[in-house]
Amino acid sequence: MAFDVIVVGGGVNGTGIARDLALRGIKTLLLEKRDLGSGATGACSGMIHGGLRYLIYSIETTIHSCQDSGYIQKIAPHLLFRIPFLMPIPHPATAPFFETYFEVYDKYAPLKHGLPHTRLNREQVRSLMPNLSDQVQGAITTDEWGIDPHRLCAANAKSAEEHGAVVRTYCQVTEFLKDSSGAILGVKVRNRDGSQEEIRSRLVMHATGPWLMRTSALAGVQVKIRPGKGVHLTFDRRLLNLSVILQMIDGRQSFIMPHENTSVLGTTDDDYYGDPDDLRVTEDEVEYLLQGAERFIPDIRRARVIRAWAGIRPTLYAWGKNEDALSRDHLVYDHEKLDGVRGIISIAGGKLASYRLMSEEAADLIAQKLGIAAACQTHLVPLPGGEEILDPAQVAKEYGIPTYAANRLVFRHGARASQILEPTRKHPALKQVVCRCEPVLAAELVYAIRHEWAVTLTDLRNRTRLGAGPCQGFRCAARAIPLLAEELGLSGEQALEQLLAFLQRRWRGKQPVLLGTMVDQEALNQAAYFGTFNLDRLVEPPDPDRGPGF
Amino acid sequence: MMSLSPPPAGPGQVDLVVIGSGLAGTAAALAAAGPGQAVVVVSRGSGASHLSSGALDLADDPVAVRGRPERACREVAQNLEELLRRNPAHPYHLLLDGNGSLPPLLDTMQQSFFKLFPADGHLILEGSFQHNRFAFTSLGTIKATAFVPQSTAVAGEPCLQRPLVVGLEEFPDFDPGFWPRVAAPLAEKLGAPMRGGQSGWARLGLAPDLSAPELAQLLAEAEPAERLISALRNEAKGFPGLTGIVLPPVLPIRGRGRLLERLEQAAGVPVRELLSPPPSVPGLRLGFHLEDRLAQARVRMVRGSVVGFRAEGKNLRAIAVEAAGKKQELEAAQFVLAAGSFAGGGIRKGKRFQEPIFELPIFCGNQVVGEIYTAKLTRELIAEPHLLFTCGLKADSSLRPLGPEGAPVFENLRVAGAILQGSDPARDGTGAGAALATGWRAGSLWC
Repeated sequence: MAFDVIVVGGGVNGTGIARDLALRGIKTLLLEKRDLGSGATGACSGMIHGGLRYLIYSIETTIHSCQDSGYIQKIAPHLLFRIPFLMPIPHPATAPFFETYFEVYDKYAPLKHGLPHTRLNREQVRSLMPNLSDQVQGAITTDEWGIDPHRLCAANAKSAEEHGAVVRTYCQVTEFLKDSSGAILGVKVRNRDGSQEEIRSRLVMHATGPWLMRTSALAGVQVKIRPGKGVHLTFDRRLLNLSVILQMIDGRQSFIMPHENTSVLGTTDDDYYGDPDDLRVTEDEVEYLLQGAERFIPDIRRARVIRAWAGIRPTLYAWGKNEDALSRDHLVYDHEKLDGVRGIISIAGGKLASYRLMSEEAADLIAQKLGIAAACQTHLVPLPGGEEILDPAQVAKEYGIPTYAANRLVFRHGARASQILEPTRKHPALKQVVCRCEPVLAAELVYAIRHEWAVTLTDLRNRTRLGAGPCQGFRCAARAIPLLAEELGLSGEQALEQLLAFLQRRWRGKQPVLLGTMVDQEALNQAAYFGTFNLDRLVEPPDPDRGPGF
Repeated sequence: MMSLSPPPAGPGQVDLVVIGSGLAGTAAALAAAGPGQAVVVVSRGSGASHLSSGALDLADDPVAVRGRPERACREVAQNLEELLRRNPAHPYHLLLDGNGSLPPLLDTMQQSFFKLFPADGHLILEGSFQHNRFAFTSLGTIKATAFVPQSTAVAGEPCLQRPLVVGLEEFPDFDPGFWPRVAAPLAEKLGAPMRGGQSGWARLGLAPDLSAPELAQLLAEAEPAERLISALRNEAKGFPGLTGIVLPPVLPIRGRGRLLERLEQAAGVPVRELLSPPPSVPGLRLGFHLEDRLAQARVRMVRGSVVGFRAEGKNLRAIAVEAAGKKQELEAAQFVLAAGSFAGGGIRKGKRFQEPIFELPIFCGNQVVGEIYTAKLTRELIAEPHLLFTCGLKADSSLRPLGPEGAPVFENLRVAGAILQGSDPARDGTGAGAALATGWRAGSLWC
């Protein structure tokens, strides 16, 4: 089977490019070595950033970010939620500076349907956030858009598939096929079951993010990035419904922000020289974030942190700059021009907010090389689910599900929520709540397995947030495994292996934040799965899963 | 914890105050209670015993081969020897005699067990001190354990040869269709194969998505119980040749025996319950049974949290108990701290490890641990054993907790159960045994 283009990497750029190509009628294969969004995309803060920060030194980035943020809202209105931002002002003397800054930013805000800034005095800030430190004299408000990056990847991949692309997860590129001149002819892959195959294409689109240096070396081309590690902490609930801009000990900015139905604190930015497949959150990183947050929110340590996770930004390479000051610009590499190697294109840098733009650039170059005239449509055609805005209350009433479950289902799937719930008419058991923290219904899990390439419990976590809440899978893992086993025809042993693999992944994110009730809860978790269910004695230990840990 | 001023003169002195009413606390209280001995138990109300599966582990096989459960050594004495050899910090060591031999430990365990679970009592446990057995769980897995509640599904029983596995629509934590996928191959490995079976569902017409304790409460009422009885009768009719029925553990906390009888009558075959993780009804039943035993032994139960103590030098004089905003002081000659580990609330880990009542130092592997990044006491793979959960108090051979210099902190305070260091109470396969044995010893020893 031959393709026009093989896209290597299933993050937001890989899936975005696959979609763009498919919409232009280009025969595309998307390959991802783990699950969609398992790299930088899944570990990001979850915001379609308007580029507020870059106003000073990269106004282009700000303009592009705002503009494309507007496009994404159009094509996937269900996926975005408004996050009001609070920027505390410790010294009234600095207020005019910030006001001026925001007055300029306000000019670009309409591009992303943002609201103009406001200024709050001490009393007004206190009424919004009574536990803010006494230091805060006032604040400026702005807003950004939050997004679920996993859903974004899934939606782009689904759109690609619906327009003729083939999507394969757990399919790792082990070699690039070359001719005698070094031109790329395709790839050799290893599947989940260990089997290998060769697949040919006219072009390879190389979008592996944190793995760019590794995979480009395999291909015989040069892509240099400056990998930047970023860590986040997740709290057990929404501490606030707005985001607060925090100042860390080293002057960096960080946020505590609403994230799905929790709050998240992050992020860090440190040069990373290690293995992108072996990410660990350190004690220092956890302390850095909490210490920074403590300055404006003195009682932050009373809140329960349920998880810590890390990711690597594939930032464009530059020497001599501090991590924070690095450009968030992106680059599409035409290796024929740069390295004299035909048949391969790479992409690096960028931000989540500019993925569609980045994909368009890459796809334009690909189309040009393939001699195809079709233009980009990704800003015009709605993503799956974005065709129509549903009213969750209506959905809840029509199918007889809890309203909150309908809210979350519509957030994740938009107009497709009805399609997911239709089978419940004939099979009411599909309305069963499997994950209570979120909540997630059985119908959604079945849909993710049948139509969104989910084959493990962690894949289901990515699609639906199963196990991502405060219980971290304590209740829902045992409920979800029979469903997965039924759908995939797993033997008992295979099902238990999957269960243990999921617990292992949950464990990885819990380890750095084992404090207070998290220790008590883990004691119960271990008593349940090892003391009673005896999994440690019955199942081979899984792959340690040294990935990002979200 | 703060020191308190002496109270006004009150009624007759208490001989022993036990903090904690789980297995260890109850064992201590029952060992001490008797004519002329006034024993008081202070309890927050529920702890890890209530959250247990209801099975009692005495000595697991530390070398059980993964995936080859049939190879697990099931002789308790052999398991004990191996365990003691591998883990020099295990609390069992405190109960051996001077030569390090087992009989005193086994004697203590047995005495304790028969006092807590008399043969004519309301909670009947099945098992032995010689062999472990494999009980089935609600996931279909098997767990090696010494004692299980009567009528728990145990591998090798004839009634499990052709089982009818029944789930309840209102109880989504159990899938009767999935259970055989796991259980059948394991039964085969154990040499007791299931020669065919069936799965079925019962609908009780209750609210959806109930927890086991909620279901147990509803099944104590006539109508839902009748529905369950009819459901099992019908399901059994549709499966000629069935040898037994397997249910998740949702039968009522009190009155289980009666309902079980009626179910077996209706179905015409034995009915067995499975073990499950918390919130587990057999665990709750165990917790309530312990309270019943204390009441029968005329041990006074004080509900509340311990918020302070009063000592004179190395002599503990009294503890302060708070409940519903009221504080009272309990004076006694002797004290036993059996407040549990993390799950029970006897030990906490914030920035530092803490025993919150007396601020006794916490040990891990015989070293004091204070402020430490918790992850350092854990291993990369979740399935591996973690030092973290073995942290606890260090005790001398009289079960008195030691300070950092190695001397007892109080002359008249003893500790028992999961609060002791050296064992992971949930995963070690010795949780109940250690609680029963150390509890009994702590209650039997006098100054």
